[in-house]
Amino acid sequence: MLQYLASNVLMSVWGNMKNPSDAELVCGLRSGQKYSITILYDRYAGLVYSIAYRILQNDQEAEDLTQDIFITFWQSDRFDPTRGSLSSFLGLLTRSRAIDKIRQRATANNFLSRWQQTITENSTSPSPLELATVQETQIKIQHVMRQLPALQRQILELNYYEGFSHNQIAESLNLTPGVVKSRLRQALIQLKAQLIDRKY
Amino acid sequence: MNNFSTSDEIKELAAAYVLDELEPSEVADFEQLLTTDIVVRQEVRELQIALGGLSVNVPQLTPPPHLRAKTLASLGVFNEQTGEI
Repeated sequence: MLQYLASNVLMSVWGNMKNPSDAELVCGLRSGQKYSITILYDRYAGLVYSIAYRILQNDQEAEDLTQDIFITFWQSDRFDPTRGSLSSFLGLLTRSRAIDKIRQRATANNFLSRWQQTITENSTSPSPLELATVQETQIKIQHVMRQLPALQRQILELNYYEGFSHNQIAESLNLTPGVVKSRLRQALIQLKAQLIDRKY
Repeated sequence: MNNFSTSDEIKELAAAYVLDELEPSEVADFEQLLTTDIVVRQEVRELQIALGGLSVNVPQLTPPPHLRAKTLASLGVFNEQTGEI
């Protein structure tokens, strides 16, 4: 019933626009169409909650973080819908905040600052990955991850999906922290090279 | 600076920056470089896109239904008591 009510209101807001893009919704939100956030929530709450739960391993903390991420997104204008995909932005923001929690760091704005540092250019066009749908990105990522050397892939997965520190990864894989640090950086460089430089 | 900006050392620093594993003093130095070097800025941007892409590959869980009403209520979009937008 509630979903039905929400849908009716949204239909009147967007008229015949059956499936507004993320960029349209974000622009709408910033011009006062606050109901846009309901569609964005329905689109991305699963992604945000899944990353939060994966790293925090706790229902309540994952719920609290999901709510916090949407409040942060609502209050912040750091995301430019013409420069980057919303799934990337929300995913990285969620990961960063979840890691802050498990490592008890008070660095809540660091990710937003890092993101902001790089979106000052209007001269470069968005990469194909920024314009890809979530499903397209998922297919590309799965393909490219399979191409990475096994150890790099394993270290990247432990760091990204579990939020493990260098020391935790080193302990779990019986490596030195120095090797983990180096392989993790190389894994990301390789991932970027495969995804972006090769223009999938 | 431009020759330096494409070095392997800078690529590693850029990766570490995106992975959020630099010390605060290193972050300050690197962000200073970012403000002056468009090549490094583009490198960081692309590393962020690549890392962000991993987000979509997490096995999807369904958030509990009450979280939707709670989150939208906290944003003033949804009245949790009456169920109205």
